[in-house]
Amino acid sequence: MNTKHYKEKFSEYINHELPKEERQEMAEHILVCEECRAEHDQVKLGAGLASMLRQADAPPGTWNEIETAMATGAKSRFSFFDLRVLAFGFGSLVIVIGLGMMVYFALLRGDTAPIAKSGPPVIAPAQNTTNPPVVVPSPPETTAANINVPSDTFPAKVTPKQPPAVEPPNKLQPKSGPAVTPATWNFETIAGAPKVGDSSEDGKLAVGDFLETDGASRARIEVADIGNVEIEPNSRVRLVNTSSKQHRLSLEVGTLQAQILAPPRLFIVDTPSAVAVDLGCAYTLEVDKAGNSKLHVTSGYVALERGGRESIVPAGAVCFTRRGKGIGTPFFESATPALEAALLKFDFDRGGSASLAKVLTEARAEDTLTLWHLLPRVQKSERERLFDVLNSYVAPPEGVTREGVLRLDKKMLEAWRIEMENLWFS
Amino acid sequence: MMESVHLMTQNLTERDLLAECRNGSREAMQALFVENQRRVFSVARNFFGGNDDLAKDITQQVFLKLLTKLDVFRGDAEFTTWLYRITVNTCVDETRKLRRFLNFGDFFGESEPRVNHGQDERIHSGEISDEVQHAIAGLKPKFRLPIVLKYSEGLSYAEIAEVLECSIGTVSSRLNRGHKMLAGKLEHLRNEVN
Repeated sequence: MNTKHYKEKFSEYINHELPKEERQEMAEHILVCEECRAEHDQVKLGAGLASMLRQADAPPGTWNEIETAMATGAKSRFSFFDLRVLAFGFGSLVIVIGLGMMVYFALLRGDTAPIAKSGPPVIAPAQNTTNPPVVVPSPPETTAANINVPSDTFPAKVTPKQPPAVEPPNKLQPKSGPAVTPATWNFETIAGAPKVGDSSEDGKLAVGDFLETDGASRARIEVADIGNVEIEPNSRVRLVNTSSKQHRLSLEVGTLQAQILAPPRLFIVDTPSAVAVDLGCAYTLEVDKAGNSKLHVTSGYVALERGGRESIVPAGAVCFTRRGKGIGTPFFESATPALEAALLKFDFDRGGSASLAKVLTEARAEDTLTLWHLLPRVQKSERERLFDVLNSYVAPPEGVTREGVLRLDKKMLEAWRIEMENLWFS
Repeated sequence: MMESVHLMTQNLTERDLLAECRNGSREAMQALFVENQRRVFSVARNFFGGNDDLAKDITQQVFLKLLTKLDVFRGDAEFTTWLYRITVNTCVDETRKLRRFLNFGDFFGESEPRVNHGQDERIHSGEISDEVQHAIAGLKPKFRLPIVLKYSEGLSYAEIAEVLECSIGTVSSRLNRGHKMLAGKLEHLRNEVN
């Protein structure tokens, strides 16, 4: 009996690309090897699906347009001055300018640390559902080797080396005097006339104070000495708490953009449907009048937490929450519209297996972020499919088994998530 | 005009047709287009998940490049290999250019999926094909291209290797992985496959 496995050659076998003798050997082997037979079945299914591709003719008039282009001497419709290239170039310029301003602002404040992508986020176990855990920073030197997973909730919580139980690093201290957390936060008007209570003057925001902007107003609030939050028009925020251990804001409605240079979990924003826990990042958080929210992370990580469920949202990703329905599944902003729509239906409108199937169809390598978060949110039979699709993009690292993932072993899940990050940020 | 184009495609060899194109014959160029447009459009359309507009743009780009660079084609490879290669490169270039920006509107409140297939609905074969096409478009280009060239265009592994300028082993490996990814994404269609 031939004990050699042929896993890499099933495509050739199915498409009759192998020499006759080798084909015969493979056929005999498939009959007796369960592992290869299963693999063969998968490849055969994929080939059968791919064979459904059809050819099609170019629409009428295509040649006329080519002829016109040739006659006018146009080299290509998509020259350097293509509008999309221009839009991309402009967008890139805006991003570069924005980053430059962030660095300038940081230097101006005496903080020389760049906003680095955090390592694996640190999430202390949730104490209870009404008092979400403190955001704990993830130190830059955190590595995968330092990960351990203490909590019973999912996704698996990641803790780096235990953070020091001391004041934040010197770079986060105010320039002059001892480290003092102010009892009020300064705010300034960017546009219009934001109001604090009945006042519309630039000034200070004390604990319990509301700051409200109308359609023409914007404000910037200095979050103690760790960063700032820009309040967009038609928004209402309240300062809940400020201390050396935690700075907490409540966003009732509207949009804020946060840029925080601090250890993770020092800055928290409450919304009616979830708590946004800063893990060392920049992000935009929007809350509508119904209390639903949308988080868009532009740097680092943010954890959204509520009711024992958690979504870890990295840079470039978005996550929705719905009041009364909980936290959605994060997805990259580059995901297809069809994936987003199917995911929203799955998360909030009982989309079930049909929506999940659509998500799997639409998923690309980067969308393993989404698929990984779905693992604990589906039935076991669907989890097996999720595993197979994830496996096709990123093989589980050593020590992570299919059985362990299917039973939601937290250490294995976390180890695999770290492997997937290579796809997310490449 | 169309009659003469038709006669050209019937009576001239590929080499003669190319020679006529180089001489500036518009009829020959159109004949070349008629003969090959289906290949180019199909590759582009299947590469981009059934996007007809994008496929048409790609087709126009390819033929503009082709007809303005005929002198570059030395005849040391099959013309169709060269044509596929230009098409593939143009598709990949377009992928790099395409950027999608998040739509910040309409995400609160109701959001309906664009396609809704309930599991208990009968799925028309055309819809299945669209779903397959869409799933293939979700693969990375290095896995997508061999699948499109093999199953849309019927190329052999050796021909695919020549178009993609890689080894047959690489083609085989990428097709193997691409098949498995497709099977994982579309397991629910197993019963629809003959």
